Amino acid sequence: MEIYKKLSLFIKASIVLQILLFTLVNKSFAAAVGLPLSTIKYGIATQAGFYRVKDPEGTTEQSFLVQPFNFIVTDWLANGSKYWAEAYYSSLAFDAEIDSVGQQVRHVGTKVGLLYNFSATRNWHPWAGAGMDFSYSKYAKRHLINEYGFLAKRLEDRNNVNVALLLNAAAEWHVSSTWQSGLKAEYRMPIGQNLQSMTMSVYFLFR
Amino acid sequence: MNKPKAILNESSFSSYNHQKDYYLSSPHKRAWAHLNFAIKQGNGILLLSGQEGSGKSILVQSFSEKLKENGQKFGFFSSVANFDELPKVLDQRLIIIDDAELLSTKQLQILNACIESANQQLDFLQILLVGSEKLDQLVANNSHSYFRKNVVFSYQLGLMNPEDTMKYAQLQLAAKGWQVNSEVARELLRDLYDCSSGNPELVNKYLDQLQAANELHNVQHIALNRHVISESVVENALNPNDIINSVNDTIPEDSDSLKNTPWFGSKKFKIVGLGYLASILIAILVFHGVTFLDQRTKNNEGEVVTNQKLVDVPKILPMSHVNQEQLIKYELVDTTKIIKKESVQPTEIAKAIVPEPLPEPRVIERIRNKPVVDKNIDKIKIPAKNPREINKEDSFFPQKKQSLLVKSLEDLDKRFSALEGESKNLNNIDKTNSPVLTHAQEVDLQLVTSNSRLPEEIKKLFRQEFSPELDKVKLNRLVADFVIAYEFGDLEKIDNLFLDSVKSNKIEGKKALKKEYKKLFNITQSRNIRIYDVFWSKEGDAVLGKGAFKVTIIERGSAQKSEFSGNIDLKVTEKNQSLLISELFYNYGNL
Repeated sequence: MEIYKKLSLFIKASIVLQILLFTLVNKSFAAAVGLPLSTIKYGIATQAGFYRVKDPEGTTEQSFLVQPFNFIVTDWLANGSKYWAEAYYSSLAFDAEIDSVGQQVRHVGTKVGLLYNFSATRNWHPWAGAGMDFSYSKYAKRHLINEYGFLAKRLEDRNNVNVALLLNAAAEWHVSSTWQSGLKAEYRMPIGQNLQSMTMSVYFLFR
Repeated sequence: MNKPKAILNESSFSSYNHQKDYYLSSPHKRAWAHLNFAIKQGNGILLLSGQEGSGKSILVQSFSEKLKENGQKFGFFSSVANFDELPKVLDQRLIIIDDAELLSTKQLQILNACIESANQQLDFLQILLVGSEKLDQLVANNSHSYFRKNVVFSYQLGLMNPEDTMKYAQLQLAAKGWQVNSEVARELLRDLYDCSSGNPELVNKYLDQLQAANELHNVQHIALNRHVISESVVENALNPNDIINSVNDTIPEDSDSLKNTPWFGSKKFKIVGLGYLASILIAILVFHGVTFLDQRTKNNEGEVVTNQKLVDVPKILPMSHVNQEQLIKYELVDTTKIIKKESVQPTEIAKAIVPEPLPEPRVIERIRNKPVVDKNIDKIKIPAKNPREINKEDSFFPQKKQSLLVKSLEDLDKRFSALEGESKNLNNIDKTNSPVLTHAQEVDLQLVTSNSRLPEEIKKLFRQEFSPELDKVKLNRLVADFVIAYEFGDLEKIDNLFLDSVKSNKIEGKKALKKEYKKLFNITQSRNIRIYDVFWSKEGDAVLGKGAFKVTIIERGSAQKSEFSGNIDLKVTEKNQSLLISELFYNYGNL
């Protein structure tokens, strides 16, 4: 149940963070004519992609995972870029091989990054960005199997706080004046022995 | 043998459509934005002036095309000669008159009467006068002070900068079917700016000249195997002294075409030879004091020009083809120029015929002196009506505004009558010189007329008009500048429009405000703002403008337009003889 306590703590922290951001933004809103009262946007994303764990006993096989709910907060910065904060939780399993550790991973974290807009064509202005991912992971039921598929070795569970670098690119479309949809591709490069991923997300933002 | 990539012919020229290929250079963009702003304002006369050839007419034509597309009706006179048809278009809201510097005093009086009549009937009428710098002089003439009163907007169209000149010339060349090697293009276009000072008409003429020069090559079937336009042709087109020689110089000695068609046996050779002989003959005549130059002659367009003009404007080379007569004329010009001015460079010619670039667009200052307002006058505050009540209705002359104006006029008449009884001096008031009755001025007038000591002060005010901070033209210009800076995302200009201690929604100080606008400009890829129904009134040393606005923005990274509208309050203060916004508050009527 420890993970759920951490998850609860994380959600509370993210709510506080969002309130803080909202307050900061609201302090200086709309002195410029046409600048919306608040440019902050909240959203939800569904992310799918391929993951693997850089385990001390050997990198795992690739596993496909869908994360149905990631929560997003984003806002413009004065220089025309925007920050991006995303909170997520995922649980995924990796099959064991002779030289590949099987395990169950519970992963909770937050991504923060900056996205820059550029003009790809006259009417299409996608985003490119980079950021950091801070997460807490629990790697349980770690094991190896032999050539016949039987359990060869049981390994100790491990927990750690992970840091990873993120590279991403996104394209957005307005659904209405307050709703926006987007598609984001992201590569997560771990610093240390944790999750590596290549994902795509579909997201909706609301102002 | 390599063939030329592009061969010029007349059809490539005739297919060129100036309207379709209208290049919106930066001065034209600014002028467009100013016009766009101006026609959204109230009644009055709008002036658009600029140097001859700066593209005023094509700008106005394109602008009117846009108006037409938007379903707006207007009267358009491309020439003052059609002025008699004015009554037919008086029911339109906008009347555009091109070449307006040719308007006679009587015609100005008629236009003024139209505006005055519209003012009295609280009808909407704008007259846009388009003309050369002479139009400014015409309006600034002391005898037309009655007309100046109704000028609510004025703009001087500037010339193109080197970058614009380059783009413009590239467009023109492309439209004519020319492909220009980039190296040659740089050379050509740099010289073009030097020669034309960014005047589109002069650029066109030099390009035409270039075409003519190139045709000489084509006649000789000379292969331009390295460049579509050879450097020497470019050089010679811009420096007409050696145009004929240059053709000779650029013939490759081993050219097949030369072998097939000997240059000395060609028709061109005869033409050039005759021209050359004629030029020598004329040079001798001129040298011996024969008054050949005093004769008047016609240029290729049939226009009667003096020889002086021919000397000064060697660029009038035939546009579509080169014939013997034209070449001879060219030589004539060339020869006389050599005699009259030794080693004249194209840039010098350009300088001689093109005035120095005009200063930045400016509002015509009213000629009258600034008023001397007696500080001892006790000003009685008369609360101005709340314009918010007015803004809800028709954008130009809502019913409440009409009734307010009528009421103000009636009050004014009553005050006049009362004062007439108090002092006979009032008979001296020059009513024809009375100011335009903007609401702000009415209030100001009432402040003064309410004081019993004041017949003399009234006279002063009437004769000297109102204080400059209430000058409607200046205030409109300030708002226009804001609109343009906003739409162009010009942060520097925004910076220049506000007072250091400016107050805005929840923000104080220019630095903070600038930061907000920086964010807005950075997060939006396009902005459009319309400020309308601005109702000016005096508040202490400042002027308060209350109006409405509508903003359309497109956020970066999306194509979705977001629209906001609401009320806007502007407080304008005079500092160092320029008007600055000291307060800008607004609220959204709908989000």
